[in-house]
Amino acid sequence: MKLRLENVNAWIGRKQILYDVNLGIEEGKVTAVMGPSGCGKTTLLRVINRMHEEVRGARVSGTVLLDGEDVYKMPASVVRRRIGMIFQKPNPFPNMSIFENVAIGLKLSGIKDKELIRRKVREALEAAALWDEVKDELDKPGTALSGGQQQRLCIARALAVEPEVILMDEPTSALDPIATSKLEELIRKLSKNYTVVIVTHNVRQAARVSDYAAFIYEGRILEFNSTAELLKNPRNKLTESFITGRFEMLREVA
Amino acid sequence: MDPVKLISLFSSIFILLFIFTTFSSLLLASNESISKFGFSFLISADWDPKEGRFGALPAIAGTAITTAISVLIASVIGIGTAVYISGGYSPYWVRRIIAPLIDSLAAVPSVVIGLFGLLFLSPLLENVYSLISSHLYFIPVFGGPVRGISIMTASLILSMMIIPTIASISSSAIEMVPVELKEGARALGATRWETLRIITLPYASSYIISSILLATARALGETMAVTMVIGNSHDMPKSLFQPGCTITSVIASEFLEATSSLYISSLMELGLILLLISLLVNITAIFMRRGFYARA
Amino acid sequence: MRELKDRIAASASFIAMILAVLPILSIIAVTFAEGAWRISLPFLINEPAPPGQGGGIGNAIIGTFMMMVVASALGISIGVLSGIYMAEYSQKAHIFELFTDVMAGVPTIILGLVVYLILVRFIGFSALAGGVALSLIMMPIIARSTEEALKEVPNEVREAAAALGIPKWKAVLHINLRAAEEGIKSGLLLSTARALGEAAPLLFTAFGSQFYSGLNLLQPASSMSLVVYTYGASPWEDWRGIAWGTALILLLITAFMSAFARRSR
Repeated sequence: MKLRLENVNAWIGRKQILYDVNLGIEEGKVTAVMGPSGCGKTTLLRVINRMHEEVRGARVSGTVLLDGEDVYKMPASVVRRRIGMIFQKPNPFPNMSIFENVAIGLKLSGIKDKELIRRKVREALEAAALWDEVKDELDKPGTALSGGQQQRLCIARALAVEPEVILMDEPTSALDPIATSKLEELIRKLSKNYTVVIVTHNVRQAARVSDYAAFIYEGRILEFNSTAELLKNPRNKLTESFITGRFEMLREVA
Repeated sequence: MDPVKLISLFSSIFILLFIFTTFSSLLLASNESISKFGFSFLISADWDPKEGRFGALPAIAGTAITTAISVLIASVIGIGTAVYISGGYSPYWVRRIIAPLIDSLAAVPSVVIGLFGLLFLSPLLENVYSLISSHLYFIPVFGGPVRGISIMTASLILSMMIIPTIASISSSAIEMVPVELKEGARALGATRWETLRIITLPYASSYIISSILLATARALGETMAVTMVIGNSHDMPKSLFQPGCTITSVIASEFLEATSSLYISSLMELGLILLLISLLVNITAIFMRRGFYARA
Repeated sequence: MRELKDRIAASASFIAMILAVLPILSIIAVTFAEGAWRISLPFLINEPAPPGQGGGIGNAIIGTFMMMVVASALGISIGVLSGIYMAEYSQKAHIFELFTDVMAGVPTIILGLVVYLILVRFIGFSALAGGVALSLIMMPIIARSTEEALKEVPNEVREAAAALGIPKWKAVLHINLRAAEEGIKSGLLLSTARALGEAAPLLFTAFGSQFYSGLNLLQPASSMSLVVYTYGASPWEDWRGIAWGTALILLLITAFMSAFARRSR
């Protein structure tokens, strides 16, 4: 297992958000975390790359293992370089060009060789399926791109620091349908080289994009299985109602 | 450890310490004068450098009078302007042109305003004062002989400089009054003036008062423009149309000519007095502003 | 009757507005009229000369430049850093904000006295001392505008930087400051325009001078603002003319800077 969560609980102040989460994320696959709004999906993600602790009053118990190492015993910045995150709303750095956005992670980790940086920026943009669209306009501000392009820019930015895992928090919720499908195609491609965990409230998207799926409800993992199995034969009543409430054409996916 | 946090903390502490440094260095420098004159410094009008006697009363009085008159005039004109551009008496485009125009005065260096006052306004005003004085001679403050370089001119120049402050904050305050309240009044048949008087101005009053305090602090500390037009005379002010002095004008005009250590010390003590007064006004203005944000 | 009051209010407020606009218009008009024809190349390059012999403000321009360099160096470094502290690190920012605002409200002539007491007594009247005095004017303005600009940077930018594993201090220096660029630049411009126009703090620090002194920071120096003050109050016609010319130059410079600052917002 690339990532393992064992007995993870999380709080913000007095309010508990995650209850005894146990999860295994397999390497090189896309795992979806699904559930209705406000059930802790985002917190689950943020516990993995230690972003949760940036919030005031946040607390975590339990263990998160990356390749067997306890993530909470490593320096947080190291963890975050090995585990990247893509946010719901694209957030390219303001007043920086496309090139600078992708390069900044490299520059700040000490790489000075300009040729090396240029090469890595290109590789990252190619891996994010954005290179062809921006290769002649690398100096344009990152914020001048469309929503879908900005999100892919954020992916390139994350890929530039060469993570092993990519966490995605509802990455298409702010995008139009065409940008969404482009991004989903990219996610499938990314799983060849990275381990992807994607949070989504959209069952159809999980069906299209993921190999494994976990259903989370009120901070507890109610069910976990291969996506095909989970959607065809949900074992839990709540899982079933979540799925069928928004998704009629089960058979097509299976 | 975060290096930026450390360095930036030091910078902030520098600013913190600045006030204390200012206060204590002035206090130390005033020592000679404080121990020699004590309290009488504040109430004596006797300013005789040759004999070593220094009294701050004319300067303090001059500061008080010029500040008071200028704030009074500026408040009336400033609030009136705010009423005109934001109170419904002019179309919206007027505000977009007039407001920046008025605000731009704040960007004019005070020496330029002082030059304007000295070389252009004073000669002009001298004639105006003559006219007023010849008709209203029985009112002591309008007594002659009149001069363009005078307390009144200094007050007018000061008021010119602080009108933008009052006008812009007041007009913003008026515009921030919730539209529902204003429309509610108008819908009941209230005139624009009545809406202002009963709803808008009371609602905006705390901001308006705060702007007046801000303007007062500004007027208290203004040096160059005032020094150039007030004439620097240490006589106790009897008429508005005669030269006078303010704390700032005394320091500015006399510091470089101060020969004895007592002279310098007295000027430092004047500076200390000014610092205390302006700190008081400033801090009051700051806390008033904070009170509003808390309420809002 | 009620209508009458409303109409009186309309007229009275209109008059107030005219009175409020009159000063700036007349200052601009008069300064242009008196000063425009006095500006020439010799005016800008020559040293001052005794009354009646022409002369110029060359040394004052250099002096202004030198003092502004010193003032900016000090004012920007301490000001920006202090703004960073208040926006990004401080838990009790309101205390620092208070002291910063108080510092901004100190009358500028007092600043001159303080720098006299602390510096001039040791290094003499000098451009350096003048620059330090001006920096005290710029510092609090820059600190507050930097703080405000940084506070406007949305949190998602900080989150993105953190998620990339970038340590906070690197993020602040390379990403947050960059993101807050416009606001910070605007504050720099405004504070510079303000410092350019001040003469009071220079009276007992830079002192003024009639000569070129190269770029020597330890010699007394003149500035354009001092020229307007000393020459304007002099009894000689042509020296007063020099004051008008200098006043016009100052007016144009500060006008442009303020206009740029507003554009950046």
